[in-house]
Amino acid sequence: MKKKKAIKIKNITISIPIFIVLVILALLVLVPVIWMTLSAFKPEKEIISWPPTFIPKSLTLENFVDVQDRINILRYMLNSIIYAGGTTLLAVVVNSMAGYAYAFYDFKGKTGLFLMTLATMMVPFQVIMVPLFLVVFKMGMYDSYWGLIIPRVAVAGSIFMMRAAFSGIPKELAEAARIDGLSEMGIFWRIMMPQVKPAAITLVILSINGSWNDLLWPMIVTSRTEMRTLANGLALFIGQNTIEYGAAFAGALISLLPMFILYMAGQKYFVEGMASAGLKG
Amino acid sequence: MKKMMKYWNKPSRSAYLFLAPSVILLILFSVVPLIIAFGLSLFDVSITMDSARFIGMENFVEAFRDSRFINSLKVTAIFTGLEVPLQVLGALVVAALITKNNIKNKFFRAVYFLPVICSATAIGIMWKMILHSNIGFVTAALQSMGLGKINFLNTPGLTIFVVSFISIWRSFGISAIIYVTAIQQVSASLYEAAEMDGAGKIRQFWHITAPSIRPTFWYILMTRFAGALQIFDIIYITTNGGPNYTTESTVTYIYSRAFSSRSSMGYASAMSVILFAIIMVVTVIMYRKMNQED
Amino acid sequence: MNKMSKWKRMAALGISTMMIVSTAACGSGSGGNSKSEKTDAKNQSKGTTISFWNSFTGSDGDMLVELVNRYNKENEDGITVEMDISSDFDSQLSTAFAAGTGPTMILSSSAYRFTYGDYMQDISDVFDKTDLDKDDFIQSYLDYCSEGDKLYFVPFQVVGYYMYWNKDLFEAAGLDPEAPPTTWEEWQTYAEKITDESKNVYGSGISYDYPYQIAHMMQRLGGLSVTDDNGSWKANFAGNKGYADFLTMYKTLTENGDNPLEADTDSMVSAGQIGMTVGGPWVTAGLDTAGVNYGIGLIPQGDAGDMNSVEVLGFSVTTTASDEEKEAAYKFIEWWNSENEEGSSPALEWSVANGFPAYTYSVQEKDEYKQSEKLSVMSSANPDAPTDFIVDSSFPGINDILNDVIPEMINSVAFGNMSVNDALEKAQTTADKIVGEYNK
Repeated sequence: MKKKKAIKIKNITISIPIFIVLVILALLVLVPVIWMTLSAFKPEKEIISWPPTFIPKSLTLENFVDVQDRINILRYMLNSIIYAGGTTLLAVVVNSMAGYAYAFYDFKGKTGLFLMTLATMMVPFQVIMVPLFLVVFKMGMYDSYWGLIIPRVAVAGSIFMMRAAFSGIPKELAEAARIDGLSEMGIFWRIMMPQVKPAAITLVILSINGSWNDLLWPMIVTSRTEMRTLANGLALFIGQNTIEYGAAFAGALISLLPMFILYMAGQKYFVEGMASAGLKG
Repeated sequence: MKKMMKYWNKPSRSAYLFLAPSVILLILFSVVPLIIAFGLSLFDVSITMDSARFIGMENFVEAFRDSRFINSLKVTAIFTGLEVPLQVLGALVVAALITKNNIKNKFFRAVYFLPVICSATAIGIMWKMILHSNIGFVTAALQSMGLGKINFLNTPGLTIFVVSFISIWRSFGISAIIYVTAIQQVSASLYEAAEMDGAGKIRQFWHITAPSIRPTFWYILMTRFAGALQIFDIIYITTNGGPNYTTESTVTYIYSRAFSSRSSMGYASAMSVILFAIIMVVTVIMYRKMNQED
Repeated sequence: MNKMSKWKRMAALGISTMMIVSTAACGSGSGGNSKSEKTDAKNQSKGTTISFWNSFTGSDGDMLVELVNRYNKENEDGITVEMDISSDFDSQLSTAFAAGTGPTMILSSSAYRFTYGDYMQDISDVFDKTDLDKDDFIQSYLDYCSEGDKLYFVPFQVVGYYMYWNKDLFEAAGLDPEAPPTTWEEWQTYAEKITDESKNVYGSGISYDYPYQIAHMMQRLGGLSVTDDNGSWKANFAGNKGYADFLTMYKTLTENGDNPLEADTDSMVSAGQIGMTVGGPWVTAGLDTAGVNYGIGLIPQGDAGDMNSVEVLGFSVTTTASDEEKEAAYKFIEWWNSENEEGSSPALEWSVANGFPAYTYSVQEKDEYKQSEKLSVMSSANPDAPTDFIVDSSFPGINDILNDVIPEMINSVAFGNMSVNDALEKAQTTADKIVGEYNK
């Protein structure tokens, strides 16, 4: 009884400084983001002013109206959803399968293939952009959703991440399932995938997020205005010579909101994933 | 049909089945473009590829004589040296502190994840405005606190730290979350056993958590490393390489050589090959180390 | 292992050569069909949709969208102009061209003819096929758009840089708000008077990271940086007294704290923290929104004499366009420069709304044009003064000078503790290399 109390007190003395560190980090993140959020509601004149303000002196919705007037938000958002959704759906399957193979199987050429996969992550996109475009163009996928989605499905980083997640699962689990007569595909899909649910959800969020904020690829691989994504639309407020700060920040908020909701929804599944893993352990 | 299923169901064979989609896609959309880009490094060729002249190693010879390229390698090295350890270890520590699923930690996780879902453009403009030497909110706040006027984005020697900070700020959340999911997967029974042995929290972390999440650690280390060596967008938006080229990373320079001035696809490719070689050497060393540990 | 890498290298070489050869063939092949037959444009282009790319992000792009929409609604030829404003114009354009595709029409700086000239059609027949009158266009601007007897662009806007001064700050410093500096000596003395450290106010706003701004100022002191020297290009950095004076002035201003050491001085101008600056017509947009009380004038003259340095932007038709699409593009360009019943034209509206000087005599004569305060300042410049911007207007390496030589020079003076003369020597070395490539 007494001992337990002592531990508790010790825990509190450790957890207070920890809490303070976490709060400081949170402030470092939140203060700029709140500044940006508040700025989206400030008139342009106030965003660029001296002395700078944090709390708006006057509130306005004109920045949002401006965004609404200038770009077809719904159409662009639909394209973003198709791009992000399509890429993610395929990416989860393809990259998980690859990650599983690297983590669970021994086969000829494993090192070579894995290094090749890693190598694709080492070259700046700006350099392979033109040749990649040539490939996509010759395949007849220019200016289509396929051209937008297919080349972005297999991602070395995601394969690597799934490999790491699958590595944490004891190999005996697969052996046991094999004895039970499950096929390899069955083992992967029914036994292994549920084990790495948190990582898979992380992959989903990362993949959606990556496509959602991707500026360059949709710009290059499509040419019609009705194929533009939200990120492309919002980039219009950042001119070559002038930046419309208010509209840019309002646009950033509009684009951030769906991602944030998605994250909050996903966070719930991190917990579920944890619970199921715990049950088996 | 059944026979075929059986044939492919052998673990060593089904591995290839599992890999096929990703390998085909990667070859088509990453390896082939990469090989083309590398081939271009031997040519004098413009970005629109309308005329090409074979010049052998000339682009490479020029790269090693180009003081801006050498400088960009130095900047990239400094940036990587700042960003990778801080990011990889810092995020691990933070992750360890917010692993438990309670309201408080969920709040912190959501907050730390916020920058990850912002676009690089928005982050760049936001920090550029906040840290502006004259009308920046942070600059003014620090000044009013009597800390003097700090010119964050226009001081050679300081600005690289600021850019590194922004870059870490942007992505430490995702590293932390990935660590958290990995830590949560560590079997609870291991901790119970350790607790019985009377091991404290920190010892548990070192002896149970750390070894268990090793694959994740390597994943974050290697991807961060490759990412840091290719740092581009944050620099492009905030400083565009300035002041006095002290934040001009290799990819920033490659980009400007490819698209803005003295536009040469061949030369840009040659510099990328050199950067690629550097990243690849370090990666192979890390990969070996990783496999030894596994 | 060794064998493997050798094989890889061979494959790389093979594939890339194939790619290059095939794209080169595509490029030159489609370039051939620009010779158009004399057919009636009105019937040809009926129901045509043409794609139109440009990089007009920001608020002026908004007006462009409106005008294009108006054209799509009004035109009786059934032409649809599908415009795509790109935030990454260069990447989009060069990848498309590399694959042998691209838009019908682009709107860009006339300097693009040096980079993408192979993908642009000669459009000198635009004056035969439409009602546009060649003599109405100011010749010096057409020169920017041509190479030899080939015309690559029809002018769209003329960008000149001007001086802007904050009248309130002038008054606060005890200066006459209606009397901006006319010489660089005055610029410096005024800057010193206006600067007020306690209010974070600076007299002079020259950014070290804005080569266009610097170039417009610098050439007024030291003339053009690349000139034609008996048929070959010659760089004029080393020993250029005017440039040395400019760099010394910049160094002195920043060291005395009269000019901020800041890349983004434009925001400070809008915030009312800068006394005097130089910039394009878009600066007024920021000043107007912020409600700053400002004046516009010509950039002070220097020893190099009177000049109207400008950049010309224009419409061009790419080699990927079919004859039919080309005719439709001509129709659009014609409409842009044609008057409606009220005597107004899109070109006039654009010019007046955004403050860009006219490139045709007919627009210059319009009342709306003459009444615009901004434009009257801009047209007050000596019409006979040369219009070249920083280099001889036919020197193809203007981007290299702007993006490489000038930034390197100004940065090493501002931060690198390099003496003005050393910086100019270094600039000369870099410029000589660039010039040498174009002299080949």
